[in-house]
Amino acid sequence: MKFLHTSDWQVGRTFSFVDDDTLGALQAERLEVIRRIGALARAQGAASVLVAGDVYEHETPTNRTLHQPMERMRQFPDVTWHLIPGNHDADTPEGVWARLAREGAVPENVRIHRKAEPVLIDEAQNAWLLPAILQRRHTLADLSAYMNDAPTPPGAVRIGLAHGSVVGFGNAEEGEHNPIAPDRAAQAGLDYLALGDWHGFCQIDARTIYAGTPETDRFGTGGAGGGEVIEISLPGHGAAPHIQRHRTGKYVWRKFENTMLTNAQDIAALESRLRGILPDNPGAVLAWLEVSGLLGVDELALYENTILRRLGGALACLRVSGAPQLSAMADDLDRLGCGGAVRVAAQTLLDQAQDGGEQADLAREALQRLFVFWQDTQGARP
Amino acid sequence: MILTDIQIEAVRRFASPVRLEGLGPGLNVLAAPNETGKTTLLMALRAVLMLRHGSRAQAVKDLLPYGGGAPHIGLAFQWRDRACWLEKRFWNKSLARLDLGGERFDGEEAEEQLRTLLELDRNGRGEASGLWNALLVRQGESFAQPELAGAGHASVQACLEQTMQDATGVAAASALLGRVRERLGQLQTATGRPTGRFRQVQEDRDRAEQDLAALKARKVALEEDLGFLEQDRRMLREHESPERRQQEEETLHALRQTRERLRGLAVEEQALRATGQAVAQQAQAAAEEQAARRESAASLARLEHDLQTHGQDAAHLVQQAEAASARHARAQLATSQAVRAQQQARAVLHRVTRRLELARQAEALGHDRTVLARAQDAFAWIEQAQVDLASLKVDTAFMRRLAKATQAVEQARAIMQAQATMLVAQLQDGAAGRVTLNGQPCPSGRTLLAEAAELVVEGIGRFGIVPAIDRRDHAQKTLDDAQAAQSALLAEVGCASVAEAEALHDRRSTAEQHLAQAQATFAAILPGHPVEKAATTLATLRQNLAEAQAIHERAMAALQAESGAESGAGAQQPDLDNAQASRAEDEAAQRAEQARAQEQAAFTHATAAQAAAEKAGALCRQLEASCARIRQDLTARQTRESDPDLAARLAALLGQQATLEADLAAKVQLRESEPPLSVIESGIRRREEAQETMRATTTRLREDIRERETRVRMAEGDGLDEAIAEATRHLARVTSECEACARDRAALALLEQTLANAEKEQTERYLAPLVQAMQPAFSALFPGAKLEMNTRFGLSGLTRQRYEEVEHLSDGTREQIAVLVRLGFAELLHARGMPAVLVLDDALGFSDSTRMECLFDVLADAATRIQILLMTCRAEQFTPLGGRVLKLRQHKAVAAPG
Repeated sequence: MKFLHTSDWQVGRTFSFVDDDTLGALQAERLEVIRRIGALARAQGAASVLVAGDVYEHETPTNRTLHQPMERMRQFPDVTWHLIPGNHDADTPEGVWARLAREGAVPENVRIHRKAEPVLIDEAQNAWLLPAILQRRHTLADLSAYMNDAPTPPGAVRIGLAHGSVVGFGNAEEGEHNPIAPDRAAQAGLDYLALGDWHGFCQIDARTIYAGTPETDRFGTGGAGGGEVIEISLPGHGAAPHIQRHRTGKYVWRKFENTMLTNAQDIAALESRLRGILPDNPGAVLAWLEVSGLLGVDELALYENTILRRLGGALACLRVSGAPQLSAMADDLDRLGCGGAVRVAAQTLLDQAQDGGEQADLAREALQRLFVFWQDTQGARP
Repeated sequence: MILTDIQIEAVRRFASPVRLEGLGPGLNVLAAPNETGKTTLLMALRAVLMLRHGSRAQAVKDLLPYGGGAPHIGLAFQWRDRACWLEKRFWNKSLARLDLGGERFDGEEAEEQLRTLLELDRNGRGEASGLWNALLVRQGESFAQPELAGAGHASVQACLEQTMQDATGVAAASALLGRVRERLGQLQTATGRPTGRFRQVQEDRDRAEQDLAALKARKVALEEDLGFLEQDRRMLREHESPERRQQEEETLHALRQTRERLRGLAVEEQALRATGQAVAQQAQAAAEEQAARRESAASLARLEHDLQTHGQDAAHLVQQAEAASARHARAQLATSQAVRAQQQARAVLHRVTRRLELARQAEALGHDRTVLARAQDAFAWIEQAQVDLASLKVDTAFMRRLAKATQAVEQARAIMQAQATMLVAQLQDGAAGRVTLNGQPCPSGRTLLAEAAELVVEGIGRFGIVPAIDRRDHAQKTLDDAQAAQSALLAEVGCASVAEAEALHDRRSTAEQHLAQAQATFAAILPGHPVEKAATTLATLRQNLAEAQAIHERAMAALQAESGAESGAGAQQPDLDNAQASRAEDEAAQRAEQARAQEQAAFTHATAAQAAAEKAGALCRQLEASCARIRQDLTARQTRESDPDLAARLAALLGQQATLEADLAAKVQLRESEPPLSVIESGIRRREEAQETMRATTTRLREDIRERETRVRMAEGDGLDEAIAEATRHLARVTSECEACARDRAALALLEQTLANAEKEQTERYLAPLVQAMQPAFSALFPGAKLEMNTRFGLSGLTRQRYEEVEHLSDGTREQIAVLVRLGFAELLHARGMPAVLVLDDALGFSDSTRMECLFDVLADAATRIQILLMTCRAEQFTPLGGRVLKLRQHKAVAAPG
């Protein structure tokens, strides 16, 4: 049998560092990717899509947000979507799943699993799904443990579906919540264990995989990449699964840590790297720069023009942490005159900046502004 | 700049064109009396340089001529060896033209060229400003140092910077500072409060915080609702559990059965207790009856003994009462005797008192009789005086009439005598008898002749004398009438002459005095009685006296009769005076009072003895009655039930009581082995209430669940988590922006402060050349003085022997300083290659001659470098200054010099 594995759609997610337009585009794309997954399933001949939790970002989304993914899935009646709760949308008495059930808003081709018990999903293939159900945001028990003893007919294909952290893998703190045994597939005789919670693709073993979010939503994904959906082909019980990764995400998120700028060449190289992410579509790039370094007056102006203004307009989002500091030397100060009042003021600020202390940063910023104003006033002169 | 020609037309007092002749480089002096147009000339000069030709500002209106027209001003000057012509017309036919060497500029272009040439600023009123404001000094302005702003300040700065070896950059710093302040002004107000975008993002942040807090509060409420909802549902399930309900019903049923059994035990115990109490009461009654009978017998014996004792005491008390009564009777007799003696003594005293009273009455009657006699005498005197008065009719009124008549006679006679002829005869001895007048010997001396007379002188002849009396007959008749009236008046009172009448009048006056004396005597005797009613008064007095006399006599007769009666009764009393009688009466009264006291004591004693006897008798009777009653009671009791029967019944009752108590103890023991009934009932009540409470709780839980579900649904519909996420995002953005604004403001503020400090420091540095430029002139006027300049290019003080602030110097000194500062500015411009003109209108009026000489030297020296135009109304004072002498002349029209 063939099916798709995805997770962590987190519909309704907001992003604090982007502007309103970009936010709207990102949110729209998180819905649009459902259509792409459905189309992929059709294209690959997969009858089922397993969604390993966190369909929703919030426990109480708006009505529109609640119904949007359901309606996207309804558009693919030939595909059966299997959904389980995640830590963001746990199956609480008044949670999203109870709400959807109460409102009768779940399409026929969507199966929401709220009980930890084997479910026949493909009679022809004798394929059984063993979902693990989170009933609260965090639990210290391994909800997949029941799979070990969950009865299925002999020769059945056993597919586990769970949301949580594989114990001993990755972040220790995250691993404390919603733990999953790393060898659960082996213990429970699973042919495949579809996991959710990590936002990037991550393969634990041959049968245990985090698919990651189909539309990248953070710079640090927990895993690798993100923006993918996994296609799994299972020839039968006990056979090794065949796995194929498909790119579904539109936006590319990149973080550039410890970017040190000391001269114009560094600035040019940085620009080149940023533009090289998606040379044909920089508008689908979200970049986060952690910038430091020392630049002269002219280089600082170059940095502001090239990186902040031009690239800031080109990319979907340019998030900048830190800033290159002004490295004003005597030559820079000389352009203010040899002994004039402006030169004296600049020297005073430079001294304060070099003395360190609480006022140093402020003095440096004041000095930068002084040069900017100076250039403006000089430019304004006939 | 060197002014070479000034022409004005239609400016204030100058309706027709005038021209200032004689202008040239160096020192120029226009000396002219007041109101010849010096100030107008300066106004025109300032206007052509500073005012835009199209302006309608007040400064232009001030130029308008008195007779109407458009102010028209022309100015010829040299600018860096170029001959220039500036011409402006204001108001209706405005024009501006500037010829700079061979170049011509018209209209706004001319204005812009001029502004650039003179480094002027525009201000809002169409009037430019710059350093020239400080150089063209109007009347009265020379006392204050020039206030430089904008272009004026910049001009001085530019001059100073040019003179310094290394550029100070103050102008650049000022420009930069302006930009910084402009940017800073977009973030904060002058007082440092946030404004503009900064304020807006702060407000946005505050609102976002409030919104987020509200959403989080709703979230908390929602979570609370969810928590309670789960709890309520759990409780409801528990309450509605059938097993639990059945168990509670069974427990309640068992408790109710126990309660019924305990209630039965309680009823039996109650019955036993009631029977036992009844038997006990009967036994107690029997015992009490026995005790009562024993008590009655004892009481009877005690009463009989008391009766015997009290009977003896009562007999003794009766004897004592009889003796006391006898003593009281004797005391009563003694008291009556004493009272009688007192009555007799009082009668004697009364008679003595009456006798004395009658004696006083007799004495008063005698006095009244004397008064009456004297009053009667006085009345007789009055009557006699009244009779005398009635007989004398010549009273004062008559005398006034008589005097009037006599006066008329004398007046008529005087008239006659005044017109009579006076004959004065002085006869010689022996001639008497030989001369006769009207037949009578002629008297010697003067004789008045009112009638015709005949004088015969014996031996001589007869002389007829006829007096020349006018209307003689009338006068005579008047005299006769007067005399007749007088005679008639005298005849009324029977008098023959006036003298007789006067004698009668004197007698009447005497009679009136007598009458007055008699009336006064009467009034003195009987004061308060009017004399007019004297007769009546006397009659009344006489009658009163007679009545009093009769009464007195009757009283005397009565007293004598009483005395006679007593004498006849044998009660011979000695004649006692009043004191003796009074003393005897007092003694009798004391004796009577003693007798009464003794009687009262005896009475009291007798009454007490009687009461004691009666009390003892009553007690005996009471004791007798009590004894009888007890005997009767004992007899009745014995009759009802004899003493042996009573004792037997009491023993039987006590036995029955013991049996009942044993039964009751057994019942109590049985009941106490069970749980207390109150506990069982309380348990039943508690469970019944719990059932009721559970029903109410179930209802409440269902309602509560419904309400909470409704709220949860509403929160779901609002997408609370999404709203919080969005609000959090919005808050983060505005907070970030707010922090950026704050940082921007802080950096700008630091930059502004640093630049301002640098500018101030540099300004202070480059003030040195300005001081240097001014120092020679100041040293000439104030030897040894050092100048203190401020950053506004003003002189703040002088240091001679000590520092002196300018504002504390005299008016004259301050004016001299102000002129020298302006001269310094002109020198700066000159040093910068911008030849300046200093124009002073009526300045230096307060300078003394020494200082004036110094100033003349300073000005003459400066005039070798710059053009100076002095306008004054004191020609003689400025004559020593020398220089070009200027004149205002009529001119054909304003036009560029050929």
